Amino acid sequence: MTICDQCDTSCRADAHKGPSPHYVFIGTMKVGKSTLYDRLTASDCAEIAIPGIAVSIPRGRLKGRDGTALDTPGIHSLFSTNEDERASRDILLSPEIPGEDLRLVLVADAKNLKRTIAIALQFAEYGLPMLLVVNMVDEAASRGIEIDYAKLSEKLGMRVMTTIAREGIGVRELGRALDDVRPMKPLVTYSQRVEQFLSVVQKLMPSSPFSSRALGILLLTEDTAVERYILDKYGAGMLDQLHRLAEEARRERPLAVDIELSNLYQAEAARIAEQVQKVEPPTKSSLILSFGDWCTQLSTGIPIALGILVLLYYFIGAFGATFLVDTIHDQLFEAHLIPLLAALVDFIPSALIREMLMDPDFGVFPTGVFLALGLVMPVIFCFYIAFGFLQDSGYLVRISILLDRVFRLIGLNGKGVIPLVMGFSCVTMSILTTRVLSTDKEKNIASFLVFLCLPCAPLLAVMMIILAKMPVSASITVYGLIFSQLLLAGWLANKVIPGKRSHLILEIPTMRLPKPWPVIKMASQKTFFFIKEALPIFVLASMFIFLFQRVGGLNALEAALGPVINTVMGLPEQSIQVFIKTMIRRESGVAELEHLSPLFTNLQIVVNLVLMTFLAPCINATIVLFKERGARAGALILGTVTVYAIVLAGLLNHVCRLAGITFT
Amino acid sequence: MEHKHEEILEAVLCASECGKYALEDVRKYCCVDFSDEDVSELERQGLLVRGEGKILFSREGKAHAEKIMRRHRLAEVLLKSILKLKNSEMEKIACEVEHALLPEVEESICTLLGHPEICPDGKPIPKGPCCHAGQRTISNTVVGLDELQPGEKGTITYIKPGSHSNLQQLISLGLNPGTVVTVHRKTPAFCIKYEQTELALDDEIAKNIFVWKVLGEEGRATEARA
Repeated sequence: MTICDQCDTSCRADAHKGPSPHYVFIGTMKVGKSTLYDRLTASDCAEIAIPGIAVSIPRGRLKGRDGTALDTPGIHSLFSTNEDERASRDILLSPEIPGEDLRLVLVADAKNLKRTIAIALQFAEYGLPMLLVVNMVDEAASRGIEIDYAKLSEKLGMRVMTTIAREGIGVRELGRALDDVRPMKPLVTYSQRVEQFLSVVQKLMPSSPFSSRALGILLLTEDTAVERYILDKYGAGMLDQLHRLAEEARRERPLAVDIELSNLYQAEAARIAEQVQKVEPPTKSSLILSFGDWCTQLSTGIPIALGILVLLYYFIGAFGATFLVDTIHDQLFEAHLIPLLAALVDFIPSALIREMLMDPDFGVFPTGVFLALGLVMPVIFCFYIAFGFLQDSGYLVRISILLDRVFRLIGLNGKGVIPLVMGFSCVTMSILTTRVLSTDKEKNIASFLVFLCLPCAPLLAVMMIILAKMPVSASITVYGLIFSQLLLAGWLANKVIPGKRSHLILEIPTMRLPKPWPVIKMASQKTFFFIKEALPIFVLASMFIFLFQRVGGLNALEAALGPVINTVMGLPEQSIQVFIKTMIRRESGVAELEHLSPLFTNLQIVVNLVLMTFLAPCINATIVLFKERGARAGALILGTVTVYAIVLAGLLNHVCRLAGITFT
Repeated sequence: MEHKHEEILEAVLCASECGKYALEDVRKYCCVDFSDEDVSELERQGLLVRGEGKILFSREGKAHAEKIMRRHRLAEVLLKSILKLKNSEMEKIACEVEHALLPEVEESICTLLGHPEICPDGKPIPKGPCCHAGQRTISNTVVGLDELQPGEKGTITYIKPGSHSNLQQLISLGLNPGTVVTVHRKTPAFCIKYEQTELALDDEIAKNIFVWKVLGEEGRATEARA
């Protein structure tokens, strides 16, 4: 997920001006495509949607030159069926981009050259101009890998550039080299039957913007995107005919065609890699590599994980949610902004508008703007920094491994850590991230759990602020319930939801020290886009509540639902406004709770916090849930979550009252 | 080493068994053609010594040739006595097998055959470490990757296509037959290392990857003592 998902579309128009080359960045996972993309493109960006694929691809204008760059998700091979991975080849078939202007920039990890060569061999079939960038040459060198780049360039018949993208080394040269891209000659010879089929395909569809051999190969593997492309371009008759030919070519083969072809590419890639590289592993591994290893070992990994959790708590909770929030509130708002605004608002003749803006309980500024900027922004910013560090260092994958067994209990595998951790930033984003999971069952379970009980960063932040004022037992109750219910609900969901869990295959990236500057830059951008999107909703939500209250709606609703809320959950009538705001945007609801907290008893706050965490998150998340999981699964999840939340909050209230627990 | 060079060393050994050392005799025993340059190359590598029209082995050359011969003749015994192949076919296959047989597999075959001392043609089979140790049981069969302990290595023989997409992904990650993988740890997840890659796998997948266990020096020593 990149920041471009949240970026505005104003630059989309620029991208369409005149014919200019489109450089598509492709490569295996974690080779530095996005880092290179970020360094080569200007900061304005857009995204491109590919028909049939839900993943959107960031598109940016190249710095200091004509053309745009597109950053695709990592791929294992041309034949992957994973939605993310398909994007990188379906983009080549996309009607959004004229095929004539396509160029490929293949990014390789110098440590795993063979794998990228195999991808190069596959993409060579497209006959598009191509360039190979070997990135992370420093890491390869430190592992005793010596690569003869001249020989590699000669073997592959294309220009090879070397970079250390994280440091920016070689990026300028790469920018200049983008002019010198040329088609790579296909190097793999297929079996006679496949070759025959490909030559027929070439005769039947000579006018494709790129070599129709690539179409033929994908046709053999029954690729649906290629079938759609041929249907659009050449009609149903052609597709039908090719179908039958492909069927014939596939017949009586011992292995599935994609496996057979993958073996061919791998074997050729291994041959080439062997000729261009020498490996002499160093005898001693560095401290950071050993540390990476300790992270996945139970005896050392658990203490490290706990240590990191404590650090995160101090950073997000103590530094972000307390220090930053207090400083911004006291120094900026109390001391300067509020008096200034009060003075300005006094000039407004209409009393209604004055109150709408400055009413301490319902006003746009106190309950909209100040909450968003003063409370939510610092926490979100700290969260993105922490998340960036975890991801950039390679720790997130290691925690996936550590938790794999636990996640199996809830019907997921270690990969489920990623959407679940994302849930701590934004539930909406997290539901989108469930796409990295392989099966429907896993996507349903992860979406359900995230939707049910993951507190997003703003909620967590205000939660920390509110709970900090109460005895520790309150925190233990709230966090304990969230954690235990996460496991319990996951375990139950695993039993109930049909389907299978996928098997874990996870590559562990090298552990490295993150570069602080890019992480902070990325966190600032993400925070900016978040606030840009959230602020208007905060403002609208407070205006809505203000007007609703003025016309007496709030009182009516409180009168109608109050007794139920009161008897079942023991909450005061005012929690209605908290719920309305929660539905509009979760963090604005919880901020309202913080605002109203003097009216609540400690027990009521605890019950309300639990209820809010478990009750459906904001409207955005609900819309995305239905979009991603479909109407049936969406409705089921939403219904279950609602019942779960009310029952749990009711139980908590009655149990505490019976036991005489008041959290004071 | 090139196959041709292995064939030459083998021919030199065959000739010497009959007390012949001339270049022409070696040519007669060799199933491939070779040039003077090839012999010079082996001489450069310190495996052969030429003098007074004779071709003789260096110490390393002799050991190397014996290894090849051992593999060839073991293959002959296997093909003839167990698989009941005809002589002509046997010779041809044995010639190919000798270049490809992994040391671990060679030991297993030798043990399986009861450490034979002569081949079907009545010629001696050079002894290997397993013969000296009088090994009785085969420690090397193809096993699931999950049966290896942390630190142990295995050469992938084949991957059972449990689920098609898994197989596709494993191949793309470079886990092909012939790849040597080291089991790094088994908990909290099954982790393997190969080439420059570290991978976490489900136990289910590890179970479906079959390997020849690669014995390190230490492993061999323990086997011998046992």
